[in-house]
Amino acid sequence: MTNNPALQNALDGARDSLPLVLAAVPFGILYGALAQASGLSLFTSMAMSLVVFAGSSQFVAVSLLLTTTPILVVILATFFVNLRHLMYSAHLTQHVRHLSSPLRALLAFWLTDETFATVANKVSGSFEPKLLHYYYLGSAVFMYSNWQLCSYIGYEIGLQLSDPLSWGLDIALVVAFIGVITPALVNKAMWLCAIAASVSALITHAWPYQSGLIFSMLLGICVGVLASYKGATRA
Amino acid sequence: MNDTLLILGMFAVTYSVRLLPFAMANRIRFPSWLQHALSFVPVAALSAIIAPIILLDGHNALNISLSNKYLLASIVAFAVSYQTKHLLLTVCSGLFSFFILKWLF
Repeated sequence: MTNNPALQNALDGARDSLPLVLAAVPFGILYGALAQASGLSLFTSMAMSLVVFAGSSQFVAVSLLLTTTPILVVILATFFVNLRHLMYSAHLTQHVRHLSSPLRALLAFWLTDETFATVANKVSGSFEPKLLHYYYLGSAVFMYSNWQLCSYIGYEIGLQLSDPLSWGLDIALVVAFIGVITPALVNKAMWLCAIAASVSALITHAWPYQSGLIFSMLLGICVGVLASYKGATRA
Repeated sequence: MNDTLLILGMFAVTYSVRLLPFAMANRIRFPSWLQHALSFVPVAALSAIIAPIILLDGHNALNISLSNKYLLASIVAFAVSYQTKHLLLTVCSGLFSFFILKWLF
């Protein structure tokens, strides 16, 4: 414990992100290994982690590069895969409104599934919004430095191994997200939202560039909204 | 040169999406129906990401059987999360059951 409330909130943010940061470890390693396999240099692989910093987009990019896809298509795919961050950012907007522009720009750069899940979870309870950005920064910096380290380790491991895709490491992401979703299923509307998004994601999984993922998220939101207005079980 | 283009392009499209709502945060206010809709974003997004990983096999076919280790580990994780609401405990129990299953069968 510390007497500095800013530092304390940053530490809390990092601590609350720990399970999700751990779950990202195999993904960072897998990204590094895939980047190596797709023929990117160590410099370019690390530059992507440092500058783009978007796990799923980086995955899609390196898997497309494995099959020599045109750069423009890779960038377009990146855009679609990361489109869900528009909804994350919009969801958190009301909590960052009072902050300065440069600070908001910095927070936006560090927005990930993991930091969003941690921060959104925090603001759903009672929390002093004045200090929320320290909490956010604690989560984000932890996530960012871990991602760089894991990307690098993955690249080095990739130099030794031949088939990094067969590891089955995506289970860490699955159980971590289950741990975030389950406590949020507080009423019928949330359940229907989760079920609709899941079923739709299964059916649309073969759609190109993860467009089925975006479609399924929007469908899940629509079903949730309709159910909450119809059943009067508003969240 | 191509690598620079790739990274700058990826940066531009990911960062603009993250930045747009934050940058306009003090100029726009979302109506209450939209804020209500956005409250479904985490559940909808995360469900849509993991459902195919859990239930589809390598050929996009549905696999609902006891041989699906992802499904079994997910059920364990869900049960633990439902009972405890503890994230780290959920992750550990899910990973543990997955690798036990992998080791046994």
